Amino acid sequence: MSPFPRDRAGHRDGGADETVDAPSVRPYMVTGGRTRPSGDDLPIEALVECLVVPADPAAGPAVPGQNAGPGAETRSSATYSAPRLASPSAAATASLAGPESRRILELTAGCYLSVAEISAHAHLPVGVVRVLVADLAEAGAVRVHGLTPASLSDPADPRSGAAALAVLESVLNGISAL
Amino acid sequence: MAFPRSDVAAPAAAGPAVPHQGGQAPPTVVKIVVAGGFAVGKTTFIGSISDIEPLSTEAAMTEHSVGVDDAGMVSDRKTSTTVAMDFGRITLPGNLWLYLFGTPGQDRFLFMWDDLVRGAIGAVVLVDTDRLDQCFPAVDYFESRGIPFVVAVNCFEGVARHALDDVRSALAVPADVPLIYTDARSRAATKQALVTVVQTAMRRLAAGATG
Repeated sequence: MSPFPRDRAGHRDGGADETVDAPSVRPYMVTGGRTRPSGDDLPIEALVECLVVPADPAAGPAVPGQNAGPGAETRSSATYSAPRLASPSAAATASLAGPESRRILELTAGCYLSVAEISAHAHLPVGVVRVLVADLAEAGAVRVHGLTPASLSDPADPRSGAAALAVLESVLNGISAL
Repeated sequence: MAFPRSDVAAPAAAGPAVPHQGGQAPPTVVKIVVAGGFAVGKTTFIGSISDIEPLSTEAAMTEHSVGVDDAGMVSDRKTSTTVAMDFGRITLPGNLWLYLFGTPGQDRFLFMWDDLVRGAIGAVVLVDTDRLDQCFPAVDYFESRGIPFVVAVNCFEGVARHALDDVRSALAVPADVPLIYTDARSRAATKQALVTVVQTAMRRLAAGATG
Protein backbone atom coordinates (compact mmCIF):
# COMPACT_ATOMS: atom_id res chain seq x y z
CA MET A 1 0.00 0.00 0.00
CA SER A 2 1.18 3.45 -0.82
CA PRO A 3 2.70 5.38 2.01
CA PHE A 4 1.06 8.48 0.59
CA PRO A 5 -2.67 8.57 1.26
CA ARG A 6 -3.31 11.02 -1.56
CA ASP A 7 -1.16 9.18 -4.07
CA ARG A 8 -2.97 9.10 -7.38
CA ALA A 9 -2.70 5.34 -7.44
CA GLY A 10 -5.57 5.42 -5.03
CA HIS A 11 -7.84 7.41 -7.31
CA ARG A 12 -10.39 5.64 -9.38
CA ASP A 13 -11.73 8.41 -11.55
CA GLY A 14 -10.62 6.69 -14.74
CA GLY A 15 -9.73 9.91 -16.51
CA ALA A 16 -7.87 9.97 -19.79
CA ASP A 17 -4.65 11.01 -18.12
CA GLU A 18 -4.67 8.23 -15.58
CA THR A 19 -3.33 5.46 -17.76
CA VAL A 20 0.32 6.00 -16.88
CA ASP A 21 1.69 3.61 -14.30
CA ALA A 22 1.75 5.28 -10.94
CA PRO A 23 5.18 5.42 -9.35
CA SER A 24 5.34 4.05 -5.86
CA VAL A 25 7.07 7.16 -4.54
CA ARG A 26 6.45 10.82 -5.12
CA PRO A 27 8.60 11.88 -8.08
CA TYR A 28 10.45 14.53 -6.19
CA MET A 29 11.45 12.13 -3.46
CA VAL A 30 13.89 10.91 -6.06
CA THR A 31 15.52 14.29 -6.42
CA GLY A 32 15.68 15.19 -2.75
CA GLY A 33 12.87 17.69 -3.13
CA ARG A 34 14.59 19.67 -5.83
CA THR A 35 12.51 20.52 -8.85
CA ARG A 36 15.03 22.45 -10.89
CA PRO A 37 18.41 21.38 -12.21
CA SER A 38 21.33 23.25 -10.75
CA GLY A 39 21.72 25.06 -14.07
CA ASP A 40 19.32 26.04 -16.80
CA ASP A 41 16.60 23.63 -17.77
CA LEU A 42 17.78 21.01 -20.17
CA PRO A 43 15.81 20.92 -23.41
CA ILE A 44 13.62 17.81 -23.59
CA GLU A 45 15.36 16.87 -26.84
CA ALA A 46 18.88 17.28 -25.42
CA LEU A 47 20.89 14.09 -25.90
CA VAL A 48 22.50 12.35 -22.97
CA GLU A 49 25.65 10.31 -23.36
CA CYS A 50 26.81 7.98 -20.61
CA LEU A 51 30.49 8.39 -19.77
CA VAL A 52 30.73 5.59 -17.24
CA VAL A 53 30.34 1.87 -17.64
CA PRO A 54 27.82 0.49 -15.23
CA ALA A 55 27.32 -2.83 -16.98
CA ASP A 56 30.12 -3.53 -19.44
CA PRO A 57 33.54 -3.33 -17.80
CA ALA A 58 35.32 -4.48 -20.96
CA ALA A 59 34.46 -1.31 -22.83
CA GLY A 60 36.65 1.00 -20.86
CA PRO A 61 37.28 2.70 -17.55
CA ALA A 62 34.37 3.06 -15.23
CA VAL A 63 33.46 5.87 -12.90
CA PRO A 64 35.75 8.89 -13.26
CA GLY A 65 38.16 9.09 -10.39
CA GLN A 66 38.12 5.34 -9.91
CA ASN A 67 40.56 2.92 -11.43
CA ALA A 68 39.20 0.34 -13.76
CA GLY A 69 41.27 -2.35 -12.19
CA PRO A 70 40.52 -6.05 -11.98
CA GLY A 71 37.72 -5.23 -9.57
CA ALA A 72 35.87 -3.44 -12.34
CA GLU A 73 35.29 -6.68 -14.15
CA THR A 74 32.93 -7.85 -11.49
CA ARG A 75 31.06 -4.58 -11.47
CA SER A 76 27.49 -4.80 -12.63
CA SER A 77 24.70 -2.31 -12.86
CA ALA A 78 23.43 -3.58 -9.57
CA THR A 79 26.65 -2.70 -7.81
CA TYR A 80 27.28 0.54 -9.63
CA SER A 81 28.59 3.07 -7.15
CA ALA A 82 27.71 6.72 -7.35
CA PRO A 83 30.26 9.04 -8.88
CA ARG A 84 31.92 11.27 -6.34
CA LEU A 85 31.22 14.96 -6.51
CA ALA A 86 33.92 17.54 -6.00
CA SER A 87 31.70 19.58 -3.74
CA PRO A 88 28.48 17.67 -3.45
CA SER A 89 25.30 18.92 -1.98
CA ALA A 90 23.63 16.31 0.17
CA ALA A 91 20.58 16.12 -2.06
CA ALA A 92 22.63 15.67 -5.23
CA THR A 93 24.71 12.92 -3.67
CA ALA A 94 21.61 11.08 -2.58
CA SER A 95 20.05 11.28 -6.04
CA LEU A 96 23.24 10.01 -7.72
CA ALA A 97 23.20 6.89 -5.63
CA GLY A 98 19.57 6.13 -6.39
CA PRO A 99 18.19 3.47 -8.69
CA GLU A 100 16.78 6.19 -10.97
CA SER A 101 20.25 7.53 -11.74
CA ARG A 102 21.50 4.00 -12.37
CA ARG A 103 18.60 3.48 -14.74
CA ILE A 104 19.54 6.65 -16.65
CA LEU A 105 23.12 5.40 -16.98
CA GLU A 106 21.90 2.02 -18.19
CA LEU A 107 19.60 3.60 -20.76
CA THR A 108 22.30 5.89 -22.13
CA ALA A 109 25.08 3.31 -22.13
CA GLY A 110 26.26 2.87 -25.69
CA CYS A 111 23.74 5.20 -27.31
CA TYR A 112 22.61 8.78 -27.30
CA LEU A 113 19.18 9.24 -25.81
CA SER A 114 17.10 12.37 -25.34
CA VAL A 115 15.78 13.57 -22.00
CA ALA A 116 12.27 12.86 -23.29
CA GLU A 117 13.13 9.27 -24.23
CA ILE A 118 14.82 8.65 -20.91
CA SER A 119 11.69 9.95 -19.22
CA ALA A 120 9.47 7.62 -21.23
CA HIS A 121 11.63 4.52 -20.82
CA ALA A 122 12.35 5.07 -17.13
CA HIS A 123 8.76 6.07 -16.33
CA LEU A 124 10.00 9.24 -14.68
CA PRO A 125 8.56 12.70 -15.21
CA VAL A 126 10.60 14.95 -17.47
CA GLY A 127 11.30 17.32 -14.59
CA VAL A 128 12.82 14.56 -12.51
CA VAL A 129 15.00 13.36 -15.38
CA ARG A 130 16.25 16.91 -15.88
CA VAL A 131 17.36 17.18 -12.29
CA LEU A 132 19.04 13.78 -12.27
CA VAL A 133 20.77 14.30 -15.61
CA ALA A 134 22.05 17.67 -14.45
CA ASP A 135 23.47 15.98 -11.34
CA LEU A 136 25.06 13.21 -13.38
CA ALA A 137 26.57 15.73 -15.78
CA GLU A 138 27.95 17.69 -12.88
CA ALA A 139 29.52 14.54 -11.53
CA GLY A 140 31.04 13.73 -14.92
CA ALA A 141 28.98 10.57 -15.36
CA VAL A 142 27.13 11.79 -18.44
CA ARG A 143 27.66 14.39 -21.10
CA VAL A 144 24.78 16.41 -22.54
CA HIS A 145 24.61 17.39 -26.21
CA GLY A 146 22.29 19.68 -28.11
CA LEU A 147 21.85 22.40 -25.52
CA THR A 148 21.77 25.05 -28.20
CA PRO A 149 19.01 24.65 -30.79
CA ALA A 150 20.71 23.97 -34.11
CA SER A 151 17.74 25.25 -36.10
CA LEU A 152 17.55 28.69 -34.55
CA SER A 153 19.75 31.67 -35.26
CA ASP A 154 21.30 33.58 -32.44
CA PRO A 155 20.73 37.32 -32.96
CA ALA A 156 24.04 38.01 -31.25
CA ASP A 157 25.98 35.94 -33.77
CA PRO A 158 25.71 37.13 -37.38
CA ARG A 159 27.02 33.81 -38.74
CA SER A 160 24.43 31.71 -36.93
CA GLY A 161 21.66 32.62 -39.37
CA ALA A 162 23.50 30.90 -42.19
CA ALA A 163 24.29 27.94 -39.96
CA ALA A 164 20.67 27.57 -38.93
CA LEU A 165 19.57 27.81 -42.55
CA ALA A 166 22.02 25.06 -43.47
CA VAL A 167 20.59 22.80 -40.77
CA LEU A 168 17.05 23.47 -41.98
CA GLU A 169 18.14 22.69 -45.53
CA SER A 170 19.52 19.33 -44.39
CA VAL A 171 16.28 18.60 -42.52
CA LEU A 172 14.23 19.55 -45.58
CA ASN A 173 16.29 17.35 -47.88
CA GLY A 174 16.20 14.53 -45.36
CA ILE A 175 12.43 14.57 -44.96
CA SER A 176 11.91 14.90 -48.70
CA ALA A 177 14.02 11.81 -49.29
CA LEU A 178 12.10 9.66 -46.81
CA MET B 1 31.18 22.33 -9.55
CA ALA B 2 28.66 24.63 -11.13
CA PHE B 3 26.61 23.62 -14.13
CA PRO B 4 27.10 26.38 -16.66
CA ARG B 5 25.94 25.56 -20.16
CA SER B 6 29.34 26.00 -21.70
CA ASP B 7 30.77 23.45 -19.32
CA VAL B 8 28.45 20.65 -20.20
CA ALA B 9 29.89 19.70 -23.54
CA ALA B 10 33.33 19.14 -22.10
CA PRO B 11 33.31 18.53 -18.38
CA ALA B 12 36.84 18.66 -17.05
CA ALA B 13 36.28 15.78 -14.68
CA ALA B 14 34.77 13.52 -17.29
CA GLY B 15 37.71 11.23 -17.96
CA PRO B 16 37.96 9.17 -21.12
CA ALA B 17 34.69 8.94 -22.97
CA VAL B 18 33.17 5.63 -23.88
CA PRO B 19 33.14 5.30 -27.67
CA HIS B 20 29.59 5.67 -28.86
CA GLN B 21 28.23 3.97 -31.91
CA GLY B 22 31.68 3.43 -33.30
CA GLY B 23 32.92 6.81 -32.13
CA GLN B 24 30.23 8.65 -34.07
CA ALA B 25 29.73 12.29 -33.23
CA PRO B 26 26.53 13.10 -31.40
CA PRO B 27 23.59 13.71 -33.75
CA THR B 28 22.36 17.20 -34.41
CA VAL B 29 18.94 17.39 -32.83
CA VAL B 30 15.98 19.36 -34.16
CA LYS B 31 12.32 19.23 -33.31
CA ILE B 32 8.91 20.07 -34.69
CA VAL B 33 5.89 20.46 -32.45
CA VAL B 34 2.56 18.87 -33.35
CA ALA B 35 -0.37 20.73 -31.83
CA GLY B 36 -4.12 20.61 -32.05
CA GLY B 37 -7.19 19.77 -30.09
CA PHE B 38 -7.89 16.69 -28.04
CA ALA B 39 -8.09 13.48 -30.12
CA VAL B 40 -7.43 15.27 -33.40
CA GLY B 41 -4.86 12.68 -34.46
CA LYS B 42 -1.54 14.04 -33.18
CA THR B 43 -0.20 10.69 -32.07
CA THR B 44 -1.37 9.06 -35.30
CA PHE B 45 0.38 11.81 -37.23
CA ILE B 46 3.62 11.28 -35.30
CA GLY B 47 3.36 7.50 -35.58
CA SER B 48 2.86 7.59 -39.34
CA ILE B 49 6.44 8.72 -39.88
CA SER B 50 8.39 8.09 -36.67
CA ASP B 51 11.26 5.60 -36.69
CA ILE B 52 10.44 4.61 -33.16
CA GLU B 53 7.08 3.58 -31.84
CA PRO B 54 5.62 6.82 -30.46
CA LEU B 55 6.58 7.15 -26.82
CA SER B 56 4.63 8.78 -24.09
CA THR B 57 6.18 10.67 -21.27
CA GLU B 58 4.69 12.41 -18.33
CA ALA B 59 5.14 15.82 -16.90
CA ALA B 60 4.45 15.83 -13.24
CA MET B 61 2.21 18.44 -11.80
CA THR B 62 -0.25 18.74 -9.04
CA GLU B 63 -3.48 20.24 -10.05
CA HIS B 64 -6.99 20.45 -8.80
CA SER B 65 -9.48 20.52 -11.56
CA VAL B 66 -13.15 19.86 -11.54
CA GLY B 67 -15.09 20.62 -14.63
CA VAL B 68 -15.60 19.70 -18.23
CA ASP B 69 -12.63 18.66 -20.29
CA ASP B 70 -12.20 19.10 -24.00
CA ALA B 71 -13.60 15.72 -24.85
CA GLY B 72 -16.90 16.97 -23.50
CA MET B 73 -16.74 14.59 -20.56
CA VAL B 74 -17.43 15.80 -17.09
CA SER B 75 -14.39 15.11 -14.99
CA ASP B 76 -14.22 15.17 -11.26
CA ARG B 77 -10.63 14.45 -10.52
CA LYS B 78 -9.14 15.80 -7.39
CA THR B 79 -5.58 15.61 -8.56
CA SER B 80 -4.16 15.08 -12.00
CA THR B 81 -0.51 14.44 -11.44
CA THR B 82 0.51 13.51 -14.93
CA VAL B 83 0.08 14.93 -18.38
CA ALA B 84 0.83 12.56 -21.19
CA MET B 85 2.97 13.92 -24.00
CA ASP B 86 3.53 11.74 -27.04
CA PHE B 87 6.56 12.00 -29.25
CA GLY B 88 8.48 10.27 -32.00
CA ARG B 89 11.85 10.45 -33.71
CA ILE B 90 13.02 10.38 -37.30
CA THR B 91 16.63 9.71 -38.23
CA LEU B 92 17.70 11.77 -41.20
CA PRO B 93 20.88 11.57 -43.31
CA GLY B 94 23.76 13.70 -42.09
CA ASN B 95 23.52 12.49 -38.50
CA LEU B 96 20.33 14.48 -37.90
CA TRP B 97 17.63 13.47 -35.47
CA LEU B 98 14.24 15.07 -35.87
CA TYR B 99 11.94 14.79 -32.86
CA LEU B 100 8.21 15.27 -33.21
CA PHE B 101 6.56 16.34 -29.97
CA GLY B 102 2.82 16.29 -29.57
CA THR B 103 1.38 18.92 -27.27
CA PRO B 104 -0.76 17.80 -24.38
CA GLY B 105 -4.21 17.95 -25.88
CA GLN B 106 -6.08 20.08 -23.42
CA ASP B 107 -6.13 23.82 -23.13
CA ARG B 108 -5.35 23.83 -19.47
CA PHE B 109 -1.88 22.47 -20.23
CA LEU B 110 -0.99 25.40 -22.46
CA PHE B 111 1.58 26.55 -19.91
CA MET B 112 3.65 23.48 -20.73
CA TRP B 113 4.04 24.48 -24.33
CA ASP B 114 6.83 27.00 -23.78
CA ASP B 115 9.01 24.13 -22.73
CA LEU B 116 8.09 22.02 -25.74
CA VAL B 117 8.37 24.82 -28.26
CA ARG B 118 11.68 26.30 -27.13
CA GLY B 119 14.14 25.77 -29.95
CA ALA B 120 11.65 24.12 -32.30
CA ILE B 121 11.88 24.56 -36.06
CA GLY B 122 8.16 25.20 -36.13
CA ALA B 123 4.81 23.60 -35.57
CA VAL B 124 2.01 21.72 -37.29
CA VAL B 125 -1.46 22.61 -36.05
CA LEU B 126 -3.73 19.69 -36.79
CA VAL B 127 -7.32 20.68 -37.36
CA ASP B 128 -10.54 18.72 -37.28
CA THR B 129 -13.04 20.91 -39.14
CA ASP B 130 -15.89 19.46 -37.11
CA ARG B 131 -14.27 20.88 -33.99
CA LEU B 132 -12.56 23.91 -35.42
CA ASP B 133 -12.60 25.86 -32.18
CA GLN B 134 -10.28 23.33 -30.57
CA CYS B 135 -7.31 24.56 -32.56
CA PHE B 136 -7.82 28.23 -31.68
CA PRO B 137 -5.52 28.13 -28.65
CA ALA B 138 -2.73 26.56 -30.73
CA VAL B 139 -3.09 29.07 -33.55
CA ASP B 140 -3.14 31.95 -31.06
CA TYR B 141 -0.15 30.55 -29.24
CA PHE B 142 2.14 30.15 -32.27
CA GLU B 143 1.00 33.40 -33.84
CA SER B 144 1.62 35.44 -30.71
CA ARG B 145 5.11 34.00 -30.28
CA GLY B 146 6.13 34.34 -33.90
CA ILE B 147 6.75 30.61 -34.29
CA PRO B 148 6.53 29.33 -37.87
CA PHE B 149 3.49 27.07 -38.20
CA VAL B 150 1.36 25.29 -40.71
CA VAL B 151 -2.34 24.56 -40.36
CA ALA B 152 -3.01 21.00 -41.51
CA VAL B 153 -6.65 20.01 -41.92
CA ASN B 154 -6.88 16.35 -41.02
CA CYS B 155 -9.18 14.62 -43.49
CA PHE B 156 -10.80 11.86 -41.49
CA GLU B 157 -11.78 8.98 -43.76
CA GLY B 158 -9.86 10.78 -46.49
CA VAL B 159 -12.71 13.23 -47.00
CA ALA B 160 -12.17 16.97 -47.16
CA ARG B 161 -15.38 18.41 -45.89
CA HIS B 162 -14.45 22.07 -46.01
CA ALA B 163 -12.66 24.24 -48.50
CA LEU B 164 -9.31 25.52 -47.27
CA ASP B 165 -10.38 29.12 -47.97
CA ASP B 166 -13.32 28.67 -45.63
CA VAL B 167 -11.06 27.23 -42.94
CA ARG B 168 -8.64 30.10 -43.37
CA SER B 169 -11.32 32.72 -42.92
CA ALA B 170 -12.82 30.84 -39.98
CA LEU B 171 -9.44 30.68 -38.27
CA ALA B 172 -8.48 34.19 -39.39
CA VAL B 173 -4.91 33.14 -40.08
CA PRO B 174 -2.85 35.45 -42.30
CA ALA B 175 -2.05 34.54 -45.88
CA ASP B 176 1.58 33.72 -45.08
CA VAL B 177 0.53 30.80 -42.88
CA PRO B 178 0.32 27.74 -45.11
CA LEU B 179 -2.95 25.82 -44.98
CA ILE B 180 -2.94 22.26 -46.27
CA TYR B 181 -4.97 19.09 -46.23
CA THR B 182 -3.38 16.14 -44.51
CA ASP B 183 -4.21 12.61 -43.47
CA ALA B 184 -2.62 11.80 -40.13
CA ARG B 185 -2.52 8.08 -41.03
CA SER B 186 -0.58 8.64 -44.21
CA ARG B 187 3.20 8.74 -44.15
CA ALA B 188 3.27 10.66 -47.44
CA ALA B 189 0.81 13.28 -46.19
CA THR B 190 2.68 13.68 -42.91
CA LYS B 191 5.92 14.04 -44.81
CA GLN B 192 4.39 16.82 -46.89
CA ALA B 193 3.16 18.61 -43.78
CA LEU B 194 6.63 18.48 -42.22
CA VAL B 195 8.25 19.69 -45.44
CA THR B 196 5.85 22.64 -45.43
CA VAL B 197 6.80 23.51 -41.85
CA VAL B 198 10.51 23.47 -42.62
CA GLN B 199 10.02 25.54 -45.77
CA THR B 200 8.01 28.06 -43.78
CA ALA B 201 10.74 28.26 -41.16
CA MET B 202 13.39 28.71 -43.86
CA ARG B 203 11.42 31.52 -45.49
CA ARG B 204 11.07 33.19 -42.11
CA LEU B 205 14.78 32.82 -41.39
CA ALA B 206 15.80 34.13 -44.82
CA ALA B 207 13.46 37.10 -44.49
CA GLY B 208 14.87 37.85 -41.05
CA ALA B 209 18.41 37.70 -42.35
CA THR B 210 17.84 40.19 -45.16
CA GLY B 211 15.51 42.55 -43.42
